[in-house]
Amino acid sequence: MKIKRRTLMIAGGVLGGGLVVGAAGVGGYVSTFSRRDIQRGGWSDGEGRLLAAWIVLHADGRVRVLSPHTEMGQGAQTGLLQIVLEELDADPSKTTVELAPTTPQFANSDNFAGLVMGDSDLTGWSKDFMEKTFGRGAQFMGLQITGGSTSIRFTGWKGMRRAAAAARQMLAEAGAEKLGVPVADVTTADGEVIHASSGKRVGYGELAEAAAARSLPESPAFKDAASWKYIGKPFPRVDIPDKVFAKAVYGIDVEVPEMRYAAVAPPPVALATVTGVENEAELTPRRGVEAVIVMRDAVAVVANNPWRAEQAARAAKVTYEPPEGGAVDSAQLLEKQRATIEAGELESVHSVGDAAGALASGEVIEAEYLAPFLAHAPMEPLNATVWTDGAQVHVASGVQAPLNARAAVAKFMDRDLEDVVFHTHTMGGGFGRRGGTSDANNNWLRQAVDIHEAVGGAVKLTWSREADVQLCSFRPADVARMRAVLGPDGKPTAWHAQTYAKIGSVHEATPRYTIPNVAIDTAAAEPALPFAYWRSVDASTHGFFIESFIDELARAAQQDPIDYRLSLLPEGRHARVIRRVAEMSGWGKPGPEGTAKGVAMFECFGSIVAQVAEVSHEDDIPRVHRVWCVADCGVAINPNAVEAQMQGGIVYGLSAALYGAITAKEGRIEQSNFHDYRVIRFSDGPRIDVDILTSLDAPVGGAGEPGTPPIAPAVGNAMAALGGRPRALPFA
Amino acid sequence: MISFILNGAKQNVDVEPEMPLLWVLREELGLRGTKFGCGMSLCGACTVHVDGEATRSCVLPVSAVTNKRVETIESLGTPESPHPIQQAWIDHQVPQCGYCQSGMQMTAASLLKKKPRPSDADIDEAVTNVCRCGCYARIREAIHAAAAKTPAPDIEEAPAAEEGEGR
Repeated sequence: MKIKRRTLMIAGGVLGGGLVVGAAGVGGYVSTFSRRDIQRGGWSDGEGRLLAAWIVLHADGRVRVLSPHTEMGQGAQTGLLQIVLEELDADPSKTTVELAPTTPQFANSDNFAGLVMGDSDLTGWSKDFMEKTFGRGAQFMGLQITGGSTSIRFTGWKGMRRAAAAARQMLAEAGAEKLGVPVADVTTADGEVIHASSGKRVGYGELAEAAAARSLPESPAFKDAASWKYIGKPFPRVDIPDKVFAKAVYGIDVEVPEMRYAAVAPPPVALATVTGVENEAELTPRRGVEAVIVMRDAVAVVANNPWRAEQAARAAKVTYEPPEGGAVDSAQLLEKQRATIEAGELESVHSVGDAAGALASGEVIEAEYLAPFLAHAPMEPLNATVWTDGAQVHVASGVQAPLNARAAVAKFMDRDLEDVVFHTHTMGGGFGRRGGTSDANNNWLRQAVDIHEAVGGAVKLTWSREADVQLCSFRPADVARMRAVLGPDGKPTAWHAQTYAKIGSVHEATPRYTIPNVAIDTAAAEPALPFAYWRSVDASTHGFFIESFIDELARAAQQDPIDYRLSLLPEGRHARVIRRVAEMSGWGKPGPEGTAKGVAMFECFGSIVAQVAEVSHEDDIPRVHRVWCVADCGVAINPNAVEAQMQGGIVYGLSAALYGAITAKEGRIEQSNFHDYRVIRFSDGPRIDVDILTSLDAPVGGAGEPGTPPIAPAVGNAMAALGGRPRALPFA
Repeated sequence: MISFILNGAKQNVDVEPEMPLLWVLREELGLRGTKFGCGMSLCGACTVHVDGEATRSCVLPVSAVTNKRVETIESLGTPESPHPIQQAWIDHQVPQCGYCQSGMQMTAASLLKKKPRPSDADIDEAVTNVCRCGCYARIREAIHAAAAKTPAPDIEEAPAAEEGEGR
């Protein structure tokens, strides 16, 4: 399906004389609406009729920014607010950002199907995602997605920025008319149109109705970067005060009248089918227990208190049938992965030059890298509350894609989409787990719905940490066989990557370095365990493979890893981040005794990040003392939030690099909680220094994901410098 | 009937004595600022103060707090009158998802009571809570900042020199 990409900007009026501006399909995951929806009457927010939109200017001068992206800690809503303040010249004291309601007007599928599929900015994995999403049919389309580091770069930079600039121009025109002066003579600032020479001024609120009647400018002018007041400046995150004073309401905090609580006992074998519960008679008489429910993938207990439900669920003796395809076993899977690669049962996804020929012509350097399954383990265990009100079903949960979640619930319950009201809550971490990319990924929502249907009334399902780990949809395990041949100057003449797991984004499996002959082959295998995107997606595995192997090649060529990388890159953004991180980290100068440094650079989600890790061995366990990080995200809308995302991306990636592995033994997931799925704490967390570079002429890149991929190879490369290269994750 | 002092007021609850304090607070008493993270005392999201001590409430039977003082995040401070830890959390833009932060703040507040000028090593030892978003660097900065703004008791002059460079 190829429909030419286009941009629709739409403006309209609000009852009571406001202006509303939105856009349809100007990029990746944006909120959209169509003219048809406007003609049909739009959507009412109780304050009068409001057309679905991004920016609403009320007659009293208030500006509301409606964000289709949910908050999971990344600060995207604040970034969107900054963009609107900048391009609208809005009054910051009267401008607020809020989560858009979970209604289709904010994600119109008719526009989206064509627009998104034709958008060359989307990487492979997101295209794949879109195809799957659209494949469900129009009724189930939902595109309020928070993930893929898309909020700022697509919705914000390509959508809201344009909408805000258009609104400012319309207000300037309306203001000039009202003041009786030429539009060229007016300026805008802090929510007013100003005629400087006469000193006359008029507020935006007064102009809203007149502005709404004007036609929308085709190509509104953007502010010059030199005059930015909000973009590129640190800005306090709007979500932080509520989180500090414990006022934020997460899904787990939802309270509904007459609510009961559910807990689940999964079968001990992953993907097994539950057949029953042996000891139901022992469970039901327990204090507060109301029901025991057998579902396909777990036994649920409903009680009047979550602890009572959990205690009973833990006592449940679950009977099950093993999975049809056999139990998953990590050791067996590794053998199969290796055998598949060895047998060459692979497809080519990228080929430049003649890698096979070049490999046959010289001494081959070869290495095998292993990456395990990973769970996301967000701090807030997954949960959902389901209740009914009249004919409508209400579901409350923290999700990254509210419309997807709403559609999933409608599908699970076999109800019309209009019958489902989805209440989106701020998330206690997401990292891809709440992305709603498949029924398997939405398994907690399905369980909550099933339990509600079984017992009726309001029920909140809260997973234990053990259920959260064992019923996770995992980052797939992968194996890479990397081969290269070096020329007389030590530079690679051939690069051949053979990997097992399906590759979503070939861009991220392909080195950025200049190499004449490159072949990327994959078995394109579907994951053996349920699958979800994990922070940075393909970059989390391929970043490790590529940046470890290029380091091996530098050492084989007896060249400095930084100089080697620079010798393989044209002058530009990639080289600049590497030079800067070398400078920051004191590369080449000796560090504290017993330490060594390793470097890695990776580009994903439109941003380029380089990191240097300083590592020592303590009792054979790597200890990461410091990390220096340089990020080029094009323009960092809120540098303070980008710094936080880099710090967080590093810690998240380091937990995985040092400790993270989900393993299955004869079908049993061997990890269950933070004692055996260990994560970084203060005592083993490094000091992190971040520098953010600006590339004004580059597209705005993501921040949530690009900080994660470089840390594992940077640490591994430092360990190699200490002696003994690790090729299997995790390292500790 | 089990009685304890919750945020300054006497509280009676009629629950199993072994029910963890966390679930009594959240579900029987409606104070949902204290969070559930692991249920095994591993992550610290459920940290409250029991007789002034930072205590993980997810494995603590409610009977263990009989007649004791329990303070939760709801009593730490308000937007109008923030605890120094809360002000530092805002100044340093600490939270990301925010879910672990009530436990982090309660742990940090307890640390500052005992050690008004904690060193980095003190923080490593006292704050063993998990933050999956990786806010550690900012939490550390914020604890040092809150410490610097809290009037130092007479006898606590010396350790300030240990602070050094925040990690």
